Amino acid sequence: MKTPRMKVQRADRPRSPGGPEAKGRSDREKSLSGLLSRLDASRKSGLGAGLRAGEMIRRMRLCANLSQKQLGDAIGVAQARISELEAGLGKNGPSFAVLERIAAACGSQLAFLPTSSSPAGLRDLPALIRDERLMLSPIAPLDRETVARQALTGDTMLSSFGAIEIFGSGQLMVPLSGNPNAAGTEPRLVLEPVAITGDATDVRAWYAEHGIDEPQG
Amino acid sequence: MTRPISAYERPGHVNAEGELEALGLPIAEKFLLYAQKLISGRIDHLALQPFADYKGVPTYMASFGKALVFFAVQDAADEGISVTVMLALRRRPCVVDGVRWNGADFSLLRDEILMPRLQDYLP
Repeated sequence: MKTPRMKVQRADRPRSPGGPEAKGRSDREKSLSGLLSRLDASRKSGLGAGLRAGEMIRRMRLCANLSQKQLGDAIGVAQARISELEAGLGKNGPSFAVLERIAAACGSQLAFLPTSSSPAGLRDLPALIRDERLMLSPIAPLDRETVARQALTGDTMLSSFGAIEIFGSGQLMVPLSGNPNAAGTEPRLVLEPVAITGDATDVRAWYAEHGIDEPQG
Repeated sequence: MTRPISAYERPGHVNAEGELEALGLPIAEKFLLYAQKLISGRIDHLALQPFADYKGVPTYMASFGKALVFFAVQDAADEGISVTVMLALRRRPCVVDGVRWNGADFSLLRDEILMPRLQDYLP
């Protein structure tokens, strides 16, 4: 069946921007990641991938305290193109090369890990958490167990801590060192996707289940 | 941090993402492609006619035949434009948030269904 045409009524004459707007409550809004995944699965549209990539670009840019124009200048494209990328415009996301250029301009790195369907992929996370080079949060220190627990539950964002963000899609952003809010000067390791599956919400049980020594300290 | 595209949710009560999906994935996809154009600035939301306005945040109505999607657009200088799906439903008699709608009275839809959601979302 053909989808009906979309209509949005146009104003008689363009309005001017109003004054300061109210801000939506973040605890009252939900990411559309579930819907996007189902769209991708049913139509193989890539729409969800484009939007998720756009959100990732936007977050990298904001972490680096760059405006769209500054980021555009840094990678040699117009501000409008950055806006389009962040909006995930079109049915395909940006190429890996473009993502790499953006990450470099934002002082970030892109890295990819096996998915959760691979036992090896599951084992990578505690290895990273054990890695002494990872200073998880200079602002509000997070113990490793908390980080692992957030990773396991999978849908929590700790953006206010600026230390690790676990997107709805299972992406992790782990700063290697320093204050991640300080003008984006510190390197970051962006990991995706580390989707921890199952209902193992107790991190100790999870370590035991996977035969991994629980990190100390 | 506001997401570029999100949906209003009152846990255990309202899930606008589910409402949008219930209209059908083809409609959801069309709406999301449109939202992308709003966020990127290819479509200027100021050229559209708001269905409602609350605290300076306009909410627009998109129609796909009898399917309706109401979305708020926030335009913050530092974070760009974000779109939040506030309500999605079919135009027919139904009960939404405990309010009976006859499928025709858009004033009632705005004042008794959409506005309470906006007041909760934009306190």
